[in-house]
Order: sequence, then C-alpha cells, then structure tokens
Amino acid sequence: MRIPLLILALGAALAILPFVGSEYALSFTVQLLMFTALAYSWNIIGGYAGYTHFGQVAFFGLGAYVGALLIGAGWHWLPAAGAASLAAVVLALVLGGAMLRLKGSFFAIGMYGLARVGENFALGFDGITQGGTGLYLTPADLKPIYAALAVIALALIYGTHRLDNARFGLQLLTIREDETAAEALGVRTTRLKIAAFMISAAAPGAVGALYATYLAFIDPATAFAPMTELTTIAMVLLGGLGTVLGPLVGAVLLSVVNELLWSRFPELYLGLVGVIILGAVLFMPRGIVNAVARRRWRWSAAPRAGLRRLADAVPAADTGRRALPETAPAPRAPDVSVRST
Amino acid sequence: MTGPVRVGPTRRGATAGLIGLAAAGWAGRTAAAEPLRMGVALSQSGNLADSGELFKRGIDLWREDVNGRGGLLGRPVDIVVYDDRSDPATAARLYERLITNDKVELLLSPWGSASCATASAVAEKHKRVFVNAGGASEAIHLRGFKYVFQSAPAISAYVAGVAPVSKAHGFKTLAIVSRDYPAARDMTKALDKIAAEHGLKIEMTEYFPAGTTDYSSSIARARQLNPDIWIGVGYPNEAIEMVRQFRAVNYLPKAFIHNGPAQDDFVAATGKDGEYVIAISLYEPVLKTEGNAGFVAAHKARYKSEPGYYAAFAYQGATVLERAVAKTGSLDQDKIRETLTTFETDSVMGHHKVDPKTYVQIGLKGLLDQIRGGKREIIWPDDLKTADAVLPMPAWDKR
Repeated sequence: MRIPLLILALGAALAILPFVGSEYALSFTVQLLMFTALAYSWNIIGGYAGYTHFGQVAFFGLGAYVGALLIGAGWHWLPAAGAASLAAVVLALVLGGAMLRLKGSFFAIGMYGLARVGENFALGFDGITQGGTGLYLTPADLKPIYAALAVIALALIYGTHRLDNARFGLQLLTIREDETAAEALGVRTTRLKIAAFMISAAAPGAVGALYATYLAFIDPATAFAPMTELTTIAMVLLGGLGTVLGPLVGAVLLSVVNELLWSRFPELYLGLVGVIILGAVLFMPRGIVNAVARRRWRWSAAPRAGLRRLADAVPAADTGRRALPETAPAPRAPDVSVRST
Repeated sequence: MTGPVRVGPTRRGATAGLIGLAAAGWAGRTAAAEPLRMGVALSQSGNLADSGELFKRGIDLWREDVNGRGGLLGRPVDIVVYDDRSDPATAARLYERLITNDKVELLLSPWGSASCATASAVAEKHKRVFVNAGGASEAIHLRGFKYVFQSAPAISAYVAGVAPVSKAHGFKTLAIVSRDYPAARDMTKALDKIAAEHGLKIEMTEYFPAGTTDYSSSIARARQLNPDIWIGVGYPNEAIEMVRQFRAVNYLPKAFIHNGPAQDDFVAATGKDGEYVIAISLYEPVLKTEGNAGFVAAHKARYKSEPGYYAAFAYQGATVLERAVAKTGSLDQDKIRETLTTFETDSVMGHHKVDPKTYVQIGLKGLLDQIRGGKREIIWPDDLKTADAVLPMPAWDKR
C-alpha cells in the first residue's frame, strides 16, 4: 500500500515542479527521470530475471537514432518516441532469442559487444545517420519532454511494484535463482526471459528518442555511451538489485552527486562513481534498500520475504564463502524455515 | 534594489530619507561595479584539449583587453569557464547550465563545429544571442536560427584557394579524408561545387570518427587511387599523425592540404617531415588587420609564441560580441540580436559581415600557407603572398 502512495506523492511533486522550480531544476529532473527509467528497465532483466548485462545502451542508442531520424522526417517527437520504443522492443525480441541462450558473464559481455556493434553501425551507415557528425534537430520545449519522461518513470516504478507481487515477477525470480530447477517445475523460462527482455527494452528506446530531442543532437558516441550504461548499472547496484525502490534510491543519489560534480570536476565524478560502486559491493552487496529493509525500518516494505531470504542465502552457499552480515535472515519474517529446505 | 523612500517633513523622516538616499547611492555604485558575467564551455580534456587551450588564450587576451578599456557597458567582464570534454552533448548540457543555473548575461562560443552546433541550439532555445566564433560549419546556420551569428570564417573560405592552386600546378584529382564532424561534411559539399566548376575530380571521400589516430586504411586506398591532392579538415593532432604515417609508409600526395598545420603545434611536432605541407589558414600574425599588431604582441608576451588562427577566432568572436553589445547599449538579447543582423566591424581576422538571411560569415576570407623552414609562408591569395609555393611536394628521399 505504501508504494502506490509514494508514487502518487512523487507524481504530485513532479506535476508541481514545472510551475515552482527554475528551468535549471527542470533540466536536472529531466536527467534524473531519464536515469530512473533506465535503471528500472535494467532492473527487470538484470535484477529480477538475474540476467545482468552491459548492453542496455544498445536499445537507448537505437531509440535515439530512430527518434532523431523520424523527427528529422517531420514527425512530432512524441510519436517518434513511441516508434523508437517499438523498434527497441523488436530488437529485443530478435536479440533475446539468440542472446538469452547465453548465461552469466557470457550474456553480460555479449550484450556489451552488441552495443559496440550498434555504435559502429551508426558510424558506418553514414548515408542515413551522418556518421560521426551526428544528427541535428530543432530544439524542442523542455516541459512536454519532462512530462513524457515523468510518465514513463512513474509507470515503471508502478509496474515494478506490481511485478514484485505478480506471478510473472515470481517466475522471473525463479529463473534468477535456478533456471534449470525453474524449468523442471514447469516455468516457461525462454518465453519469460524474452518477454522480460522486451519489457526492459521498451523504455530505453523511448528515453533515447527523448534524450535526442532534449539535446537536439545525437551522434554515435552520445547514443551508445558506455557512461550511460555504467551509470545506470551503478544506480541499480547502489539502490538494490531486484527491489522495487532500489533503482529510484540509486538514481536520485547518483544524480545528485553527478550534478554537484560533473560540470566542475568531471574526472572526480568518474572516480567517485567507482568508489561508490566499490563501497556498495563491499558493504551493501544487495544495495541500500535491502540494507535498510534488514534494519526493519517501518517505511521500507519487504514483500516476499521468504523468497528474498532464499535468494540472499544462495549466492553465499554457492561460492562457499562466509555469508556477509547483510545476508543474515531477518528475524521478523514468519517463514524462516524456507531457508533450511 | 532599495525600497521606496518617502522623505517627510519631520526630522525622523529626513534622517530616514538621507539614509535611504545614501543606501541608494551605495547600491548604485556597487551595481555599476558588479562584473558582467559571461559563460563559455571549452574542450579542456578529451581529444580537442590542445586546440581548445589555444582558443581559450584568445578569450583570455580579449578579457584583459576589454577590462583594460574599462569593461563592457561600464562593467568589468568575468568569464565562467567549463570543460566540455570534447563532447558535443556535454557542451549542450553545459550551456543549459550556464543559462539556467549560472545565469550568465552573455554567452561566448565553444570551440569546434560539433560543440558549436549543439551549444547554439541551446542558446536559440533560450533566445540568447550566440556569436559562433569556433565553428566553421555552415550547417550550424542553416537551421533557421534567429539568435546565432557566425564570426568564424565559413567553410567556403577554407577551400577557396584549392581551385587556383590546383590550376597553377596542374592538379586534377582530390582525396578528401576528414574527421567526421559538421565542418568536414560542409567542406565536401563546398569541394564538390568547386570540383564541378573547375574540372577537378574527387577520387575518394572518407570520414573517420573523432579520436581516430590510425589512417593506414585511408593511406592504402589513396595509394591505389593516387590522387594529386590529399585534403582534410580537422585538428592539428590529426594532421600531425597523417604526416607521420605518410612518412612511415613512404607515401606522399603531390599536395597535402589540411587546416591543422596552421597552428604552431604542427611544426613543433612534425619538424622536418612537416615541410612543404599546405596549411589552410584563416589568419596569420603578419596580417595588417585592425588591432592585430597589439594582439600578436600581447599573445607573444603572455604565451611566448605567436597566435594561430584558433586564438584569433576567439578574439575576433568576443570582439564582435563586445562591439555589438556596446553599440546596442544594453544586454537585452533581442536588441543585441537586432544589432548583429546587420553588424559590420573590423578586427584581428579582418572584416566581419554576415549574410542577412542565414547569418553565415561572408566577410572573412581564407589563406593558404606552406610550411617552409619551420614557418608558415602565405602562398595564396596572391596579394598577400610571402613566398611562392613549391609543389608538388618533394618526395621523402629527395629532401
């Protein structure tokens, strides 16, 4: 019940901001919403299905180019963003069939390679994309773009909330925990994985098109920037992989840090992102939201606690390492026994 | 500033009035002395960092000059500088920040066509005057923008000397090898036109992504096609690498024409290998343009070298903006815009004049230099010539 309320509150704040905030606040929030949408999308396939990868920026870049080309052809940016989203979903369908056969690091790195292929396509097909020169658009008004991004981000937060309590989400979690076992239990893993992959590609496609509209420019280096990818992943890891609020927490925190540092100390920013990721992995391996949930603060929801604890316990058991204090079972949950089965 | 002051007949009222007047006077004085803030994003890191630094020198020298003259509109000039990391998308975000967060009163242009193209779009969106001092690309100005004026020479000025030089030396074929950015694509368009008019043939056109350092595939292709002229537009580091790789694989076109060699960096880095290279230049310290002697002297005093055209671009652009603002007499962006549409002036690079419709620069003309004895000698146009061209370039083993 708390998360729908939170979403309503966020929605209200976002609706008021254009009337009270400065243009600068608006511009910052556009970036924040963009990364929130990217982080939530990545969380679906990386966090819930357990297929972490470094290739989301391929969908973002494709969306940016589809959007920019359609806008250049005279489309309004909104339908162009819709078409960009569709293009990304289709690409995910095609790629998913092939790439999701790979597991673990093979999938992660394979997807990274595909993003680089996308960048080189954008450079190579310069008859269409103008190569490294990039495409230039007429600048659009910021407020409608802001509104579109706000809708996408809020929809993703709500969608993740629903996913967390839905059959589909649980099935994805079973894939994450043990794909073979899930299959043996009758979970249609291939179909589900591809579906999750397609869902996770939809928003990046649209956001890519909106980003191109916002910048009024796109070139291969911007569209397929590894920095976009890494920042998104860092946000999810920091906030909490496979949680409802994790990506939001991570996106807000890193966006604020980014905003304070990027224009003045760009080198420092990159270093700091590295330190944050390192710190998160070492001390809060399951992210801020999980760490908070263990402290049993009442405002943080911990749905499906049993399954989550099972999820927490497995990696430690797998590698035979001593379980970190973070992964100790939360005492308040009633079905502790699940863990010993 | 100060609230309304009512001077009443009572003593208390009079005292309050005096304090109020004093406060108003003091506030007026501080307002007059308050610096005029200008904003710019330049490449201080990334693959254009070296060139960006040269551009920044022009801005710094201008700032000293303008403050020496008593500032702009009676206010000293302060400049907020950011690093765009040689990335056009970052440049756009930084101009957004300069306008909305730092609230600078005037914008200066970033360096390079790519960053100028994105930054100018942001300026246009916010209805802020943008004098494009760093981007030769004409495409920047063909988007119907109303607040964007080119003070840098347009790309057609860069290549104007190609036809006369080709004619004089009997060159017939060209290879275009350029960094992939707006200016290069504009240059190809301009060269296509020149080639059609003067019976030249363009054998190959290649663009390489920003940051490329290996030109071996282009060289291999050029060796096959054997064009008379290898021409490119980009930055000094690219021209330096090209010459080094020509030498390494023992390839040499009859003429190598590039704008990079017009900066001192080129001669310093290539030494003897850089001899006979043709530099597309837009400015030389020897020009007898207005204020040039003083500019060259100041540059020499501060940086121990003569300015190249990058520094001159910045100085020229800032001067044009300064004079347009002074003529307008206010910081009202629409009024400055109005002034700039027909504004003409002379500065270090020559005569500034923009096309009344597109605001593309039409006043400034290009030069061609040849590197001879470690110096740039002007070989075209004839009336400014300081040396006769030695073309074709002597083979590597005949030097």
